[in-house]
Amino acid sequence: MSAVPGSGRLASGWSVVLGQELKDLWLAARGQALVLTFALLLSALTYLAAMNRELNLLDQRDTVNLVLQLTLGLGVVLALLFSADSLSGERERETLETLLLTPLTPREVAIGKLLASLTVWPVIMIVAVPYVFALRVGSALSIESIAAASAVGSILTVAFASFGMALSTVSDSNRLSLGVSLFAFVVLMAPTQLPLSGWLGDLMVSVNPVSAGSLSRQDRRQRPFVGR
Amino acid sequence: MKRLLGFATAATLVGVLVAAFGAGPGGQLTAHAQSSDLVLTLDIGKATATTGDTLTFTSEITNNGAAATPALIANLTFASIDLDTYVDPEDWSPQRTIAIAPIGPGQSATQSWTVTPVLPGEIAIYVAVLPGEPELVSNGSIAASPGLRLSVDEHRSLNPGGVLPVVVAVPAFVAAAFVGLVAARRRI
Repeated sequence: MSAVPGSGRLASGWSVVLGQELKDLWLAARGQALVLTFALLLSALTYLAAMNRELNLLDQRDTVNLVLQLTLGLGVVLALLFSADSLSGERERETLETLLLTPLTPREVAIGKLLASLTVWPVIMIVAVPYVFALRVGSALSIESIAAASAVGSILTVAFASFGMALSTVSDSNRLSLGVSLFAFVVLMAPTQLPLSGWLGDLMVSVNPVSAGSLSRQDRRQRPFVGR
Repeated sequence: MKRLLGFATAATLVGVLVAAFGAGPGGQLTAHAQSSDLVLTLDIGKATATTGDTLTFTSEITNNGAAATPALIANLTFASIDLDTYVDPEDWSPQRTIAIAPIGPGQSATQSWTVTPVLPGEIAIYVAVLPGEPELVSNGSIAASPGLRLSVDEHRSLNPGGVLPVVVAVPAFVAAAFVGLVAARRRI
């Protein structure tokens, strides 16, 4: 058995960056405040959705969809912003040079930072799970919706975080990478809120990863076996 | 066709409705509207409700004429009596239109309706009946039941759908977990 030269060092290199980034994200106030704010927001939304459901203004599926849409949107946008901030932020804070003076390769730094920004999604999703069950829409619909949202959200988070990382790599300004990232997300999110119809509307929804992901969850929820 | 002309005399929608409000004994709400040929009866069973209640009630159309009616369309309608309550019929009832087969002389047809009040206020509920196609085109005369007054109070619940424990516990748990993390880090 022959070891691949450098493979051990590569693994430990990105894991060192990942560990440091995770500490900065979750043991510092930034990540904690965001998750706590998200939990409070979801509490308010769930409470209002439950009140509206009692009045029959929303049906069971709409309430679950509302909670999961917010979860998906916030999870993806937070991962996107964290990754967009990762390298351009270091550059702007003038700490990138110090980082590049370490034995780590640029690839190790990028992989570690990207993986750290991806951890936002599972944390956000775990926080959302009790709210979905609290809406009491039935265990089948709850599990089905959570599984579908987790799958769609994971794909979207990886895609958007990678996009943010790519922007951050080429951007000299943190403001530029964050601004372009957020603009791209809003542009892709907009069709989910627009009354698109006809073949052009269907095409726009299908080619857009955000609206296609949202539609895919709706299709799953409409399967007959899910029931109410 | 001429018979349908008589429907119009049974009710001009709002005027007749407001005049016909009334509660029967024991809070039972029943009202009748009579034209030369048709009698419309609406029976809700209660005069008050709270938001979120589900009221199921019936209307009955009796044909007192000598000939059968054409196919009819019954439509459940709401009006705000206090002129302040916003009533969106879609929110208040999932099914507001029922097709009725022709009713023979002396026979009746009963319709079942479901209403869920979503806002507090004073509401009139009534059923309007009009002929289906093709008579609608040549003679769209409308007959209507009297309006029944429904007083809706606001339902206040601190724990809607039982979500309150989760809504409070999750942010508290998240905050406690982060405080614990910070405390553990300081100890290290």
